[in-house]
This record gives sequence, C-alpha cells and structure tokens, in this order.
Amino acid sequence: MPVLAGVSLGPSFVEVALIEEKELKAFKRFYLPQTALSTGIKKFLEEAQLKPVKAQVSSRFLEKILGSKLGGTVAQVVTQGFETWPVLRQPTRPHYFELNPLRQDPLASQDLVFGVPERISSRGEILKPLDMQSLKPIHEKLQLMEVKKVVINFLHSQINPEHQNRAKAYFSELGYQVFSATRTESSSDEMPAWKENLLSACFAGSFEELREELKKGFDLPETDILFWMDQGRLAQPAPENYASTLHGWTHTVLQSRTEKSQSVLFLELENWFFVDAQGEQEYWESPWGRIKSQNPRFHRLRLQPSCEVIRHSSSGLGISREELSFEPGPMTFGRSVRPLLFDLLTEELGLEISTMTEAGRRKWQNTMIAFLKNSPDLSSLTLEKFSKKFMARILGQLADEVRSLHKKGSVFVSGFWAEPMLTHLQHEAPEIDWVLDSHSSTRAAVSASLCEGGIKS
Amino acid sequence: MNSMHTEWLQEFIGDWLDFGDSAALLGPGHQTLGLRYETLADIGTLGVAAQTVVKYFSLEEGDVVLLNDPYSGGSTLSMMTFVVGLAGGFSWVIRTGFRPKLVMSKKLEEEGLRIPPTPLVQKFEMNSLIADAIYSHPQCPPTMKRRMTSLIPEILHKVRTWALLHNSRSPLLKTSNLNDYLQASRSHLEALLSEVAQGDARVETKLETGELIKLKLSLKNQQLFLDFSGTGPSQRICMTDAATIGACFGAFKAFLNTEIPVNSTTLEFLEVTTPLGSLLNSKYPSPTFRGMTEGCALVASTVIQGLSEVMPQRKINLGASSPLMISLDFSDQRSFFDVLPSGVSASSLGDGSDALHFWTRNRLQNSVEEIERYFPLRIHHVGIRGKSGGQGKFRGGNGVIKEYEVLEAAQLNWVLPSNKIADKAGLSGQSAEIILIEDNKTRIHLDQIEGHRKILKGSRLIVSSSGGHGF
Repeated sequence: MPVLAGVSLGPSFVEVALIEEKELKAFKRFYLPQTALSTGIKKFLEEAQLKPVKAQVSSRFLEKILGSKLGGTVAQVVTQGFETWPVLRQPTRPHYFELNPLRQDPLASQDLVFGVPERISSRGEILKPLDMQSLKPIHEKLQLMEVKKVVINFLHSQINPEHQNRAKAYFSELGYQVFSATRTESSSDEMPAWKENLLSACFAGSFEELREELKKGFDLPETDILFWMDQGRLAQPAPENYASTLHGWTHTVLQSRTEKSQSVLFLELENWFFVDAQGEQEYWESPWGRIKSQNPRFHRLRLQPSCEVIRHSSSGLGISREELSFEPGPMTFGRSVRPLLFDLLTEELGLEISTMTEAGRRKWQNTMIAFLKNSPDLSSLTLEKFSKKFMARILGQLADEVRSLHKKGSVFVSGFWAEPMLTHLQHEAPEIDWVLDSHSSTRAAVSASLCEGGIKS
Repeated sequence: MNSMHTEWLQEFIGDWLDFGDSAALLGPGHQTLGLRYETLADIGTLGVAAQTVVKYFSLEEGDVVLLNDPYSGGSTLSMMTFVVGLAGGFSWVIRTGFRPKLVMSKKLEEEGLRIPPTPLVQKFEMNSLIADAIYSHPQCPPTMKRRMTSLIPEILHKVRTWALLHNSRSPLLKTSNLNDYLQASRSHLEALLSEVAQGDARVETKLETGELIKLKLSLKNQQLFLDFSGTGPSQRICMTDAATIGACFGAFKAFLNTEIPVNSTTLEFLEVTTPLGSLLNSKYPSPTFRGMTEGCALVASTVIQGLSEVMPQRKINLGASSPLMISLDFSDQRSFFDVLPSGVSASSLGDGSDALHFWTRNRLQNSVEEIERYFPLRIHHVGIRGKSGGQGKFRGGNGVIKEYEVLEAAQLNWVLPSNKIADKAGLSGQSAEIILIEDNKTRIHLDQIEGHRKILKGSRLIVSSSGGHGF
C-alpha cells in the first residue's frame, strides 16, 4: 500500500508522520535551528525504512518572517490614482492617543508603486481601457533596479478580471514572477485582496526555499508535495497563492474531530489556538490590517508557550503578552537567558523533549529561585509551591479564555500539550465537555496527512 | 492584593473590553474598571451611559438597555450604546456605530433617531415590541435590524460566560481587590505626574464662525484643573459635559505620551469646569453631531496647547485639528459620509504623519469598491496631498486628497476645519479646501466653513484635507 507523509511545519519545529493503510507507522519531531529540514526528513525516512509517494504539508513556517521587514523588492502595479491608497489604509499605531501616532509600515516599498491608466466600474464595465503602452516604462525601470516580483492590484478585478489578466500576462511573458490572485465575486473590499497579493510576493523566496527542502528531503517531485490552503484546498500553490498556505492548517485541525459540532483547542508544541466549530472568517487581522483568509474562524490564544515569565515593577511575577520565538527558545533548551511559560509547564507536567538540556533545566530553576527571593509577596514560597500555584493560575486563564470563545458543544483538545493538560482543564472548567484527541501528541502531522475516514486509533 | 492577581485582573478586564467599537466594564459600585475608546467622546460618555441607566432602571443579569441619546451618555445618534447587566452587580457597556449623516441641524432630533435609555432585553428575553418599533422608525439606520439579530445573541452569550467566570473567579473579583487594582492605577499615574513640570496657562481657541473656547489650565499637586469659564455658546457645535471631559482626558493622555488605563481613579485626576449653556455643556435639544466630532477635537487641541505652554519641551501645535467632513445625500435616502484626516503636525518628537485621524482609533476603514458598489459615486483618486505639510526642522504631515464623481444628483453638505490657526513662525500646512467642478469645466471653490449645495449628476468634487504644521 502506498505510504503517505503528513508534515506539520511550525515556525521552529517540524513534525512528520508516515501513514500506511490508514495506520500511523512512524512519527518524528525535530527542531529546525538544530537540524535542517531536508536532513531531518531524510534521516527520519531512513530510520523508518519507508518511502512515501506523496507529502501533504500544513505549514505555519512563514509566520517566522512576519516580524521582519518585508517587501524590499516587490513592485506594485495599481489603478492610476490609487498609488498611495495601500499606505493610507495601513492601521494606526499605537491603539491609544499619543502625540506622534504613526502608520504601520506598508508591505511593499512605496518607491516601487506604479499607477497605470485603466478603470473598471463597480459593475464590471470598462471605463478606461488598460493602456498597455504604459507598462513598458515600468518594465524598463524594474529591469534597471533588478526587481523580479510584480504584484497587480486593480480595482474591481473580481467583477471583471480582464485588465488584471492582461497585465499579468504581459509581465509573466517578460519573465517576472507575477502575483495577482483571482478574487471571488463576493470579495467586496479591495484592500484585503491587494494585501494578500503583496504578502504572497513577500513570502515567495522563503516559500520556494521551503519547498526545495521538502523535495530534497522526501526525494519527491513538486507535483507530489501538496500544501493545505485557504478554503481547505490541498494543492500545489501558484505563486499568487503562497499567502493562502498560512492558515490552511485550520482545516486539518477541524478534520481530526470526532464530531462536527466540536470546537478545537489546539495546543501545539509552539503555539496554542482555538478553532471555532461554527463560523468562517473572510479576513485575517494582521499587523498590516485585514488580509484575505477564507478559513475556519480561529483565535490565537493570549497565553502561548513562548510567553516570557517576567518580573513586574510591583515586584510580582507574571507572564508577558509578548511572544518570544523558539530561537534561542526556552531556557530549558540551554541557550536562552529568558524563562518562558514552556519551561514552567514542561517542568511541572513532567514533559521532556529532546532539545531540553540538564544545564538548561538548572538555569531555569536557579532563575526562578532568584525571582522568588526578590519578590516580597512570594519570597516565602518554595519553587515547587510557586510553580504549582502559577501553573494553576495559567491554566485557569487558559480555561477562562476558552470559556469566552466557546459557544456550544464539546471542546476537542488536541496537540502536544493536550493529554498532560487535560485533567487540569477539566478541573478549571468542569462545565465544558473536554474530549481528548487519541492522537493528540502526533496530531499536527497526522492531520496534515488526513484522508477520508481519518486514521485508526 | 497579590501582584499576580493585579496582573490577572488587568488582563481579565482587558478581555471584556475587546468587543464592539468601544466598551467599558463597571464594578458593583458603578466604578469604571476599564475602558477602551475609539473617539474622545467615548472616554467621557461610556461610564455616564451606565450611570444614567442604573439611575432609572434596576439593571439585572441578562438585561440590556439601549440608548443613543447624547444627553443620557450617548455619543452621536449613529452610535448605539448597550448597557448590559452582568452577574455580581457588574455592568458592561458596548458601543457600535452605523453610517453617520452630516446634517446642519438646529435640533437634536433632526440628526436622526434619538433613543433614550430603553430596555431592549429583560432577563435574557428580547423585547420584540420595542425592538420592532425602533426598526420601523423612518430614521432608524437601515442595517440596524440585521446587525442586532446577530449582536444581541452574542452579547447574551457573553453574559452567560461572565456568570461562569464570576462564579469560578469570585475571590479575585471581590470589591477589595477591585479597589486595590484601581489604587494601583492611581499610583502609576501619580508617579508619572511627579516627573512632569507644573504650572498654569491660559489659552483661547477662536473659531472662524465666531465661537470662543477659553481655558484656564493649572497642573499642580498631581492634578489637572481645566476651567473653561468664559467659553461661549454655539448653535452649531454643541457638546455634552461628559464629552468635554472625555476630550480633556484624551488630550491629557496623549500629552503624557504613554499608555495609562482609563478608569474611575485616573479620570479623577482631572477637574473640569464647564459653564452650563456653553458649547461645552449644552442642553437638550441642542444638536450634538458636530460637537461630538469637531467639538471634541477642538477641545482636545486647546488642552494640548495649554499643556504645551506648561511643558514646552513636548510642544505640539495641532493647527487645524478639527476634521473636514462631507456628506452627499441622494434622492433614494442613501447618504454618503466621509471624514478626511488632516496631516498630523510635527512636534519636538519628529515629523508628523500623513493623513491620519489624530483623535480616532477606528479599526474599520472605507473601501473604494464598497463605496462604489453601494453609492452612485465614482472615486477617481485617493492619495496623499503632496507637499501640503508645513516646513521646519520637522515636517508637518501631508493631508489627503480625494476626487469623487457624482453619478446622480445629490445634496452636498460640508464642514471645513473651523480653527485654521496660522502658525506664528510661518510653518503652517496648507489649508483644507473643496473644489466643485461642474460641466467638466466650471471650478467653484467652496470656501465657507460650512454649507450645503445641490450638485448635478456628473459633477466632480476634489476634497483636500489640511497639512499639519511644521516644527
């Protein structure tokens, strides 16, 4: 029987599962800062002595680059008269009143925005035909600047895509990578769609590197490496759809439920989410404003494993809302000096993963002891007592957040942390019917590979 | 109270504010525990809305009282405020907006449907008779029924969630902990104020239409006294006392340039005196749309001017700080409304931002495609109004320019910024302007501060907001 590979790519961890005849045959998790993707996959396949015929990938890897400055060499071709419209629709920072409010930086450089004479009406009528002659000077300038990526953003292209398609063909024939996704007719706001195109362009380099690594690791052609995308599509994404792979994982998580009415509390190793049973979203509220994302409604929980344990000015201890990354990662990995919620939970719940070190664990304990000594409210507590109280509080907050989000039916709990945390969640919120996923610790990768009928327990 | 609990309470309150366009949470003693605002008026009025409701109703868990009346703690008539009873005597205030209309009115009722505090839901049961009466009113926003159909069940779901949380977290939510939490806010603000200069200032803002805002400001002993005695009345720009307090606090917060929570104890740092009958403390039935929008911006800018005199190292001259507003009323009752943001003035902190609403934090923004689909309009151009910001060591932000083509005849209403203060150092940004082009050739400069005019099908409007002052 053919073997199928399921891959769940987080920002720092990868999980791979091999499925044969709907049975889980092998599973591995590895840490990208220590093991390259292709190397890790190759080694796993050698150990398992299995070769998959296809790989299905659910990826959050590109979240990693969201924090960096994007869009350095992406050109935007827009309807003339709207060259600064993307900038004007950027969100204001901060969210409170202050003397020097700013806009979030746009996704692409304003120096590379070009307006072209064209106009379609809200009914799809051509008010001004696309002036193809106006595209040539743009091409000449982009050649000089060695820009290879072009985004086409015209108004009302969802009603009449003729101009968009012609401009796309022009630049494609000249060898540019063109990002100009087809919009559905119901798409009524241009900016989320425009930003989706821009984000796909920004992601292009990283996504293509990722795909090459997967091809090398599995020794499979591109046609046999499929990605989960918006609307639950499983396909090879075209360049203009790279951004739509960002939240495709929500579909795999919902597929793993035992009943369709269940919401899912997805407690993955790196990140925690609540995925709604009812309701789809059309947009994702990104730092750059709304971006098109047609997926099940999901919430990134306020508490995350990578939130830092911090000392307050009032000399207490708390959890920062800022998420740090897993590179260098938790203190128990041995390379970081900042204690994370991950450290507290793994120690308290008695969990181990291969990236944790003895030296890291000792550092964590010593740091927490020092914190307690310096906190007048807490100095009488031992580390053990404090950790128990703190964890109870954390899980209480987590349960409270789920209560606020959950509407009806049971909550399917899945992911790396699901089984260790289940009893605590049941204690904190006994009125919720918590259902544990039987494949919880391998869920991410198993879900990615899901086919009809699911996996045997 | 344990410091871990303070942090938990702060986050807990924050979660309950993340609903609607703006929201507030009040404790069993009707003290404001937290508030999230979108506008200046929200800061002063959300708490007052709750206090007005509890004065006239016995608000219990599962009750929802609807209001929009500005004289009962509402904002503009297009903003609906819901005061919700929660378990444990807590109350929750949520505000959500509908598309506004710019009406040059003399009375409040001309601005839209006025809803005094009205029991919409009692003990989780919708009062259908009242709801239907509201929906069928000719001035009721056209999308209100559809929106309420989904919003009310969401609100009631949250009320039930609150009951569960209140039950499991009741030790943390006891009054002594709430008071300790509020006291922590007070201490934080006291510490901030101990680091700033003290002093007095006198400021006047005179509008081109003749109104005068007079302010005597005194920052001393960690308190801010704002005495607006001498401020005159207005028939056009009318605010409520609550909105004035909100504008003052918003300005104070902005000037401190750091996030401070808005709650009962931080609001107490201000003592605001507004003469009854003045434009800052109007009486029913004075119209309030322009007061809640333009008026709040003018008051906030006046306060900022005063604080700039006390603390010149943080000086900012906000220039034409009231917004440029237009509306186009079509024959089929559809009314298009737009507010164009000005360039932000520069300050000692740096250049001003281009075309940014200084006194609004609205998460939603107009879409060109949606406007063109819904209204008989075509937008030919939206862009940054180049070189409209004032010069100086730091450049003022540029305004925005929009060009509309009107596809059906309409009535245009407009309000230009009414306090075009020229910067004494000559660093002014360009003024706002509206140009009407008829028959593709006749250009008419609409230079009155406010006005209305019938415009023909095919006319174009080029609307440009002001640039910020340089520094």
